[in-house]
Amino acid sequence: MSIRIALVGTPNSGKSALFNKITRSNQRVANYSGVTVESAEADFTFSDRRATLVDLPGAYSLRPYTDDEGVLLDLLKSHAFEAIVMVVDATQLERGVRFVMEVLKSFPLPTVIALNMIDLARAREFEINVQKLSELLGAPVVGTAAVKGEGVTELLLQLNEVLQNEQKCKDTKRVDTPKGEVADSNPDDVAAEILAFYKKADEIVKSSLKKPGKMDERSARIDRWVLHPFWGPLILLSVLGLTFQLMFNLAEIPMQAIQSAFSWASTQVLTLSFLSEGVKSFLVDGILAGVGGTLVFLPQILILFLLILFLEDFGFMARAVFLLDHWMGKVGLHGRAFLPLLSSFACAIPGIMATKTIESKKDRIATIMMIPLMTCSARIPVYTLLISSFIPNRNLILGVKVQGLVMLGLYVVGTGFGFLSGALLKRFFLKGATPPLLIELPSYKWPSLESLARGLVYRGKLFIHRVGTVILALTILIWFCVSFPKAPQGSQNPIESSFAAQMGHKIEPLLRPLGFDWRIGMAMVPAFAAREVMVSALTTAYAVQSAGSEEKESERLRLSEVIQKQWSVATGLSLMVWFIFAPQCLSTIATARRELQSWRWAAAMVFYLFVLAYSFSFLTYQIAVKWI
Amino acid sequence: MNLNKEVVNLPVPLGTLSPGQHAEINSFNGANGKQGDELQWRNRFLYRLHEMGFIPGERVEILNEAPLSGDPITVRIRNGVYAMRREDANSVLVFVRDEA
Ligand SMILES: Nc1nc2c(ncn2[C@@H]2O[C@H](COP(=O)(O)OP(=O)(O)OP(=O)(O)O)[C@@H](O)[C@H]2O)c(=O)[nH]1
Ligand SMILES: [Mg+2]
Repeated sequence: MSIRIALVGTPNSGKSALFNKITRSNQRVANYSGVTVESAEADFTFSDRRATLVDLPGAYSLRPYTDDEGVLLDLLKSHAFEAIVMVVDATQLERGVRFVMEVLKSFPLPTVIALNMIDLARAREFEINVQKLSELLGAPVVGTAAVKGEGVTELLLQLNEVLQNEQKCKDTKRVDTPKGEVADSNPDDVAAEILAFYKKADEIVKSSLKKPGKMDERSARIDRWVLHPFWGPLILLSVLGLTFQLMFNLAEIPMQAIQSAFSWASTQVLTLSFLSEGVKSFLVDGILAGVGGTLVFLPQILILFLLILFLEDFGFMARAVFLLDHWMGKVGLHGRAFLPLLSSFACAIPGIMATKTIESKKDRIATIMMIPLMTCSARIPVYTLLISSFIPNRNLILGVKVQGLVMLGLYVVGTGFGFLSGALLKRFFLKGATPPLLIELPSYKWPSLESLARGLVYRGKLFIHRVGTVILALTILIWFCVSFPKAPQGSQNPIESSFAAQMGHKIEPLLRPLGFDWRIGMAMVPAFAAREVMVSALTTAYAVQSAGSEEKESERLRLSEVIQKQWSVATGLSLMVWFIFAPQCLSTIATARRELQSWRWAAAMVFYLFVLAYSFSFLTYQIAVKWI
Repeated sequence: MNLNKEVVNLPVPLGTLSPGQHAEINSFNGANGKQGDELQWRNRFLYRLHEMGFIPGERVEILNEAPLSGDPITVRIRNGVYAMRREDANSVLVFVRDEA
């Protein structure tokens, strides 16, 4: 029989890192509080036991403040576990021990305690008497360094022992069922109780600490720069600017390599004489063009993720909250709301989930409404295609190039409008005070190359998986729609009779004022399922079209060259603007609906994004046509 | 003489200190007429502070203040550093102390 074991502990103590080590999973690990917002589980075996380990959101106490902490309490109360592994940050003993005592009192299950980050504690010269601590707490304590795997085996051995003892006890006497009551009585009483608890924890820590460690002066020193009134913002801007430059300049070589690999594959397929023309078109114009057209953007996406992973692991995120809290206050939110917004630059869905860490309901709604305007990584392929086609890559000063700047500009415009919308919402529809801000600034940790590499590989795999499933399927569908029904022999422009063209022509009148023709309109429809499909859809459409025309196979052009010839600059700009605002990606809207628990808000989201997209594309096109 | 010392030793709100100043926690402010959600938040904020080790007698140090606005501030207590707004920090009353 499989037993269920919960990982419980204060935020940022390394629960997810330990979970990943024990179960070989890939839970998100980052150096700030509130990374894990939902429970996650995985099976593993130890000492011939089959077990399920459950990674939980961190909490400072059993008095939930936010929804993610509520998840922890609800699960503990529901008797869902047979044992607990408590994780304590060894460099923050008092706080961790206090929570351990609270959990042990309310939920007296078989428990072992992982004294995690023992490597950091050692480096700062803490000397902890583990034996003593274990006696005083009444549960085995094992020093661990989760990221390195140190102490994990020992921890599991101790867990096994505790479970065996428990088994013996059960035969003789019944264990008390956990009460798990958390009284919310008179505030002063609650405060007094916490203080008393803390004092007791403090005594335990004092008597088991042979030598208190040094303060983390290194982090304080780094903070003097990173949080400096002048240098701080400057450092942040340079890191951002550099990343966008790298996205265009460094990514170029691997992108060309991927591109050539796919063109080589296409020419190989075309020379296979035993395949009929139809099959060749399916393989080359459908699969290879679509998949290759999306996959080329992998290097750029990885560069962006490298930045995000580095900043997260280094410990910058909480500092960003601190630096930006004042500006978030102007929007009517507090700095914490910045974390979900930031993770939305990877993908909106985890961003929406991360809003669980926001305590005020109204603030949470406002944040979710802002999220779709944060530039998610699925927009990168579209932006890159349009920028490299329509923006000349002139050198400005000091090797700074225009394309990278325009990319940064698109991010800035999206984010700016996001904040504007948030401010208006808070001002007119979601009025209300913001709760106090209280966020821990964790010690800086130098990210290990291994964890960065593993994070990147994981991200890369996710993207390739997405290309291989959703995007491939949609591309095949599009190939079918642009290829059938076949035009009568000798027709000038065979694609015109296809399903896609028929449908595209139907919506064309709506899109004309924005400068979009039927092909763009046709490609925009599947982009609602996944933004990147815009690129593969256009690639496929133009590939099928040119295959049908007089052009020789060898003259097939890259998509960016095709659209450069066929579209006006105004159309290109207008489409960029459309992609900043358009309410795309159905899964984002579905997730938002689920988390908001309201159809109305979700509908309002789609509506306002659509209005923004249509009006600004319209303005961009009309102005650009006149002036450029 | 005695009177003077009294004045020097009057507790001040934590949020009024500047980076580099050290202090010792004395007590916590009342609810100041807050109601409903705001009262709830303020209570939970205090609980959380206690849970993080903000208890009477504990030493704190202000490390940084945010650029331009000077708000929020970062407060070091024991081995933890926390960011909070000055207004909220004012519910903690402290004695200013020299560096230990
Ligand atoms: N040096 C060192 N770093 C660690 C250790 N364990 C975790 N970390 C780092 O500490 C940070 C927090 O780890 P997580 O596993 O995300 O912490 P968590 O407890 O799951 O945090 P929440 O999900 O926010 O509650 C990450 O940057 C980890 O790389 C350790 O034993 N030693
Ligand atoms: Mg976690």
